[in-house]
Amino acid sequence: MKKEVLFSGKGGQGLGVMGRILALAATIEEKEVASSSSYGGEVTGGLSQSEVIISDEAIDFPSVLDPDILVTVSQDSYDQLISHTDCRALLFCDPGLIDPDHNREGPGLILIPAAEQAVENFGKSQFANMIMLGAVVALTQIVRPESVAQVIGQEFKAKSPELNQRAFAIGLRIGGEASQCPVGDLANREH
Amino acid sequence: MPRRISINHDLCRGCNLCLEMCPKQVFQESSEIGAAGFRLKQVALPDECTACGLCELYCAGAISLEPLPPEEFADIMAQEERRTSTGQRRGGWKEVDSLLEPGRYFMAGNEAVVEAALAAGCEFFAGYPITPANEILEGMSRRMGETGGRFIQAEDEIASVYMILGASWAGLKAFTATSGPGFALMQEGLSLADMAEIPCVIVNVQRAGPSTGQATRPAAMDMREARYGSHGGVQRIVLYPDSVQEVFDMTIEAFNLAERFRTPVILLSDGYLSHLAEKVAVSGCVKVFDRIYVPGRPAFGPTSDSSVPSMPRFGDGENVVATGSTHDVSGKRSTTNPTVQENLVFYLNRKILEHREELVDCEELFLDDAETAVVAFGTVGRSAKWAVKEARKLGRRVGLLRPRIVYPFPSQRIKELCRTVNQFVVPEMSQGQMVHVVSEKVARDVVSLPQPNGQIIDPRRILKYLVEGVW
Repeated sequence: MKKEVLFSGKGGQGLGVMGRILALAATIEEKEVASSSSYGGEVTGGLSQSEVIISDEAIDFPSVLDPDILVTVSQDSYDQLISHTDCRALLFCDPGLIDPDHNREGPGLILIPAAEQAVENFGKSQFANMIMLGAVVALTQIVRPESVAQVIGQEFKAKSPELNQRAFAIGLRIGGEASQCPVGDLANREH
Repeated sequence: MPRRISINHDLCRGCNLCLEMCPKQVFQESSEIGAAGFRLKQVALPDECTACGLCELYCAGAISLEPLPPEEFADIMAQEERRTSTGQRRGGWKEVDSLLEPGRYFMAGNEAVVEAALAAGCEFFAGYPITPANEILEGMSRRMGETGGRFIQAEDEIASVYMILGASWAGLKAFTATSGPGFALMQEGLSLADMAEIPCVIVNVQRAGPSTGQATRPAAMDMREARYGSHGGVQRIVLYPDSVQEVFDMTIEAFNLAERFRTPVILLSDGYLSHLAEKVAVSGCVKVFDRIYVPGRPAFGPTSDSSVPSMPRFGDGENVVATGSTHDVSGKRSTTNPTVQENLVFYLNRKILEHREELVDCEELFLDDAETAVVAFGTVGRSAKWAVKEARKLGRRVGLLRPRIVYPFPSQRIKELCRTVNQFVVPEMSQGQMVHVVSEKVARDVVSLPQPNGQIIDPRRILKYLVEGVW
């Protein structure tokens, strides 16, 4: 099994952290992992991407060629990705930040209101990335939720692991609810 | 060690700079008054002379230091060896415990450089921030504090490189990290390191250029600069890994090679590899080489067998001058003698090239029956490996040659491949640099696949060339 994941948005939205947490969770599960990120000169606000490849075998080429999972949290990145990718991939986006193209064909558009939930639960949007990651993990089972929770505990040791773990749990719940309805209907689901 | 000091009284201007400059007070004024009306200088304490050459350097031409005749020189060397024989010979291979707990880590390319440098025994880092090498400077500033080494953020790259050269003479393993624009500034210091045989490691995390170009984007545009950028163009050792594990292993190797051959070693990385995070296996013990020091031995080449000379450090009590000017085996400047110059330059090349068999390190894939060989370096090797494997599945007889040690270039190996290979393909993240090196070595069709767009090469693009011949 080999899964290619691409996180895309603006610098400052925590895409690098999402990629790193997911990659570390996969290393706990003894998978082969390659993770890379790219950003523009301005760091905050410019187009920023983070890629993770998780595989059972050695990874020859460590960058995403044909994504299985796309996560996009800004309009610019959404517009760019939608024009470049086929419909095979599951596409996660945040409807609070993006006006998605509902006419997109294929099964995979999944709307996760991560930023809205972050403000509702924590009063600030900076936990949106962990909520989004929770939803991605719940819906794709690319890694085990316990692995991610463990990694969050290690990585945010000096900051606030509890809040981030709670955000991740909220994401898991939203993802779990989303998986109750057929994926094809997800695009038209009211939020 | 002493020289024959001669003073041409006709050229003496009576400036007294020789008295002022000599740290050993070798010169004195005599009571004799010369034709110009001032006291003549004399060599009062010739045995105190350390041949530092300061008198000759400051004098307007009256003082000259001449090498002793060989038999007299041998006598003095023997005396010197006895004098310093209380000192201990040191250096060579040893095994040390890893600083990191042995095990599997998940780290980015730049983090791997930091940890591997410490594992190799690096105790000094000087650098100036530049994207995409920043994490190395940042990591060293933190880790040096933890391990007791020295970290300096210099005022620029020129200062950085000279600081590590000084630290190296003080006996420390030292390195700096930079990217294209900074690497260009370091070239002068690197040629001093060539000439004065100073071991050091320079990590060049390449980015898209020329000049400031695209600071955050990867490229392999310094492939020729790493070899030929410095004044003098003597043989360089240049390494280019393709994975984070290799970055870790080859950083240690870079330090070992620098210490063994007393030469600057360039470790290439790029804006992609520096931020790529992968698993790295760290073993419990690290094999490291420390520069050899034999008390009393001359500190510079040429050596008769092209071996690497003994390297003392400041404070060992050896009388050594480290200079960028042409010099003899004791470091004494010899700035006009054509034989000394030629012998030295040939020696600097030979001390590396006579070990070139040890310096061949290539990854090879499907080369036994390959008709087309992809020659790739560093990160491009990852794209090429994917493309070659896919092309094989389609029945194409293609193979991959990826020299981990880029220079000295593995000429012999690539010539051997010509038995089956009739076309070499060189994909590069540049306008085409290494393609010229390859075509210099082989009388076969050599095709350049250049991509200087600041992106890593999509392996499907290489596959398309291998299958359809379209780039």
